[in-house]
Amino acid sequence: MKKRGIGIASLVHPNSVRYYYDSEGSSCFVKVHDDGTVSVLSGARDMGQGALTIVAQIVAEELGVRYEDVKVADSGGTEELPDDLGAYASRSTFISGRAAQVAAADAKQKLFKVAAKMLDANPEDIVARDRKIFVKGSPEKSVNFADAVYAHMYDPKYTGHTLFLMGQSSIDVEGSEVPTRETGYGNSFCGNIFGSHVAEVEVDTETGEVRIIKQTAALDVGRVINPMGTEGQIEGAVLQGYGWTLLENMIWEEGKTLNPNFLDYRIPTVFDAPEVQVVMVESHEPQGPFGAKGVGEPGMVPVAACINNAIYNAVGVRFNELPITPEKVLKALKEKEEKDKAKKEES
Amino acid sequence: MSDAFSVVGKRVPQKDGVDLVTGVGKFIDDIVLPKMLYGKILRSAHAHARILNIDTSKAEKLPGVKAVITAKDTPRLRYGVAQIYDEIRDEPVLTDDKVRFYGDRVAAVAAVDVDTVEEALDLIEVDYEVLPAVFDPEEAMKPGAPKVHERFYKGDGVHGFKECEVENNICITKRVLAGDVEKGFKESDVILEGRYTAHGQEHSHLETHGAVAAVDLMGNIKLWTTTQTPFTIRRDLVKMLGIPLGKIDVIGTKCGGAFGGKNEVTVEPHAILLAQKTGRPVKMIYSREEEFIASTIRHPFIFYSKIGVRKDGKLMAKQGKAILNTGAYSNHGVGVAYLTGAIFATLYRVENVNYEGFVVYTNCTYGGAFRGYGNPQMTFAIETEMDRVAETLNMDPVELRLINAPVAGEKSACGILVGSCGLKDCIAQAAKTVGWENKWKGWETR
Amino acid sequence: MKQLISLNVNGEVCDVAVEPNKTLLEVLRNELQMTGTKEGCGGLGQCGACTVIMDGKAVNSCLVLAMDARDKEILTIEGVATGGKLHPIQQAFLDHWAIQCGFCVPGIVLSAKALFDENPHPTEDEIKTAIAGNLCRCTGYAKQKEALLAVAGRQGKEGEK
Repeated sequence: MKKRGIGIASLVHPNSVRYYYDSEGSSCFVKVHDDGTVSVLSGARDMGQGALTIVAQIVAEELGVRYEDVKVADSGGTEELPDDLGAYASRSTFISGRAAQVAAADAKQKLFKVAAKMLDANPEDIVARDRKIFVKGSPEKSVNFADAVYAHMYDPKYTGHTLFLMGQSSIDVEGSEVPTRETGYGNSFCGNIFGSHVAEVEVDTETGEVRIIKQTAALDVGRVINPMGTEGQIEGAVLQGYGWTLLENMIWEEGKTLNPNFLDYRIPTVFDAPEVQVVMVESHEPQGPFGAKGVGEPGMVPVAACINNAIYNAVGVRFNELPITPEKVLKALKEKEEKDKAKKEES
Repeated sequence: MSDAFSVVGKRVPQKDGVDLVTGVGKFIDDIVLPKMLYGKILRSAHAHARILNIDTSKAEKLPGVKAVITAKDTPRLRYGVAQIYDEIRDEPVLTDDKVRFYGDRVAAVAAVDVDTVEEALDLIEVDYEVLPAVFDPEEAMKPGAPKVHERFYKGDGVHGFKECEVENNICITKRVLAGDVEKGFKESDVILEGRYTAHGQEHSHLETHGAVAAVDLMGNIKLWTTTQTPFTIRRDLVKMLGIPLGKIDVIGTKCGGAFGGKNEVTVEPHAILLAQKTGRPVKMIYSREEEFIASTIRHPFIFYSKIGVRKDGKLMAKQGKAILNTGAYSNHGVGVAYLTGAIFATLYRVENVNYEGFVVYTNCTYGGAFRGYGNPQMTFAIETEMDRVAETLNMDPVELRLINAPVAGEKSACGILVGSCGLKDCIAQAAKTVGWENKWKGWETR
Repeated sequence: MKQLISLNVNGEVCDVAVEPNKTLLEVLRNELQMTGTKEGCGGLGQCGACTVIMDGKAVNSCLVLAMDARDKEILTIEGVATGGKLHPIQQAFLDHWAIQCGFCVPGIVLSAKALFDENPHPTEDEIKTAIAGNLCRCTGYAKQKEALLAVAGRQGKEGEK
């Protein structure tokens, strides 16, 4: 018989923790070319989560150019790239992305001194968007972004200078601290994400197999920079949580790994993937780029608990040990059946 | 997604997408340099053993072998992951006293091709004195248990390092303490206790670990690696090999998945040492088997939980004891033990918290950073407990969570400032999306 | 002892000296420097990262001896985009963010292409069966399914024209 159940679990997870180092830094260089295109040297490390893409979107938005105008260096090492602590603790968008925004803003404020003169306006009264710089409220009073850059670099009549246009940043997160050793007290989270997942599962009472039919993940993600990237992170994390809870098990005997291969250590295939619905609860993280938070890890955190809670809702057995294997499910169902039988006989 | 933005919030494709979808992106094993050699590590044949002697002579004589290194070819320093806080240095580049788990590093070989390297590994003769081993962390904490580490180096980031004895295989104990749990339990109407265990997990990124090291005539090192943290790796290598920072350039290649597993060195120091010894570039790539045996895993976790709650659903006290099986080396164990405590105190509003997290050495594969960093293990325990609490109070589990959900601007019991906080919104939206009201029919099970 | 053989890869015939025990994967990567095809599981045929198309069928190149690949038409990821244009599968992967780290992508593209070459309008189940042997640890497969379903739909529309 197949029985369905539903379970909920919450999560909180930091966007980086001020712990091993008393620094949560990142830095970035932005170079603007006189055709209006931009090259970015970012310390952000892309390990498939799309860090370089997110940096490009942030820089494009901040400067007022198009996504396709921005190139982010995809090679280079510690000699030429600006320093960054790396991609971990869901910090790439939140911190490395923020560094990119600040560097772009640095270039923009230099550019605006020239553009303002070109528009006969104050720098505070102009904005840049979609390759144009214009006066707020009067978009017809505009200059092309590329023309303003050219002027900054080659035409001294506006500011008396001709300077190549670059922006840079070196940032740290404000307001967080290393916790005390004695009590662990301290605001160590540089940012935080809360969320709630609901799992709808199906338990096969004859084989003990558990499947997630649907996982609904509602996460407070701040401002979403790229919805596909955010969804992708959560979909991938949910499946890793599913694998950990139900499928994957490192079998050790006297310290020796008995299943060191993908046949005997089963990571999820496409047939295991449930439907995942991502609900992005947008808020605003003051220290994130445009209010964004990082979502690399939170998708994984509550999956085991909500599967466990959903199994209980489906068949009345609850586990205090992972992984939840079919053998354990069958054993628990049998014990429950015997207990229920004994209770009935008593009454 | 607001129209106030023209690029942010848009579904644009990845910048490196074309390279990846056409197979052009260069991953670490795609790097080929002129006169490049191939390297591999000889791993331990035992879970716990003293090394009495290593004879590399036969391996060195094998045609095609260009270098064999053991601990004597390294600076014999211990290193650790933490940079300034709770620093524990217990890990060697190549072990010079004992092997502490099956994946431990005994020697390394560089040769003209992989087949020759593997043949050479078989020719290295190691005399071991097998020692009693311990695999269960609760057993390891008992007096008289086999000692995984007798001594290690401990620092506090301020006063330098001290060599200390390791007692009862406990690497470190992290505490998160707030309020008065005894008072909180006295004020509770219901007290629930539970014991939870969560197992380890292998990252299983499709691309295995790897590095290529090349050294020029001036001694400048170029190191290509699949790491997540090029700048941190550079600092680690400076510490563990004693080379000046300015002499090493770390280049991150396209990374084929990491999830925390590529946070620290694996083959990097060995590739550098072999490149220095041979004068030729050396490539070292982990096999899939090595990923399972030797690379870091998610920490296996035991958790004793005690929760006190009032009958109206308000959490009054939380007490927890976590035992992390950190395996043969401390690696990220320290940070994971802290984070699980911080999560315990922060997920819901509660004034009284007493958390102790023990990071325990065993002769198992060692734990490291893995997506969630202890949080999935802790959340499995505490969110299952929350449902048990809800059932005991005959309350809807959604309602119980809403009652205790923090809001923006609050500080948790351990001082974490809850910034923008959508937990209540998230719970409400998740419940609404699935139609919780219609689907959850109370605690009467089917 | 190395033997000289001819391999037809991406429409080009090349002569290469191989040892009899070398796999097609090893020869592609090490002798022909075609590193788009990846190794992920130790040559055990368990992950699909090494998938190529051989005489129209998707195979794990780590399980094929190079000697057995003689006289066969082999397609690797390097040969999928033609005439300076991405194949619809590749374009769909880009459009749907079906790529994260990209390591599994060459293998999945080829598994999918073998299916679509035979059946331009596969069902979701047929798509899943075709890529069931390709492990991906990053994406959760959601956007890969989405991308391939879109190709199936798009192809359907073009077929109608």
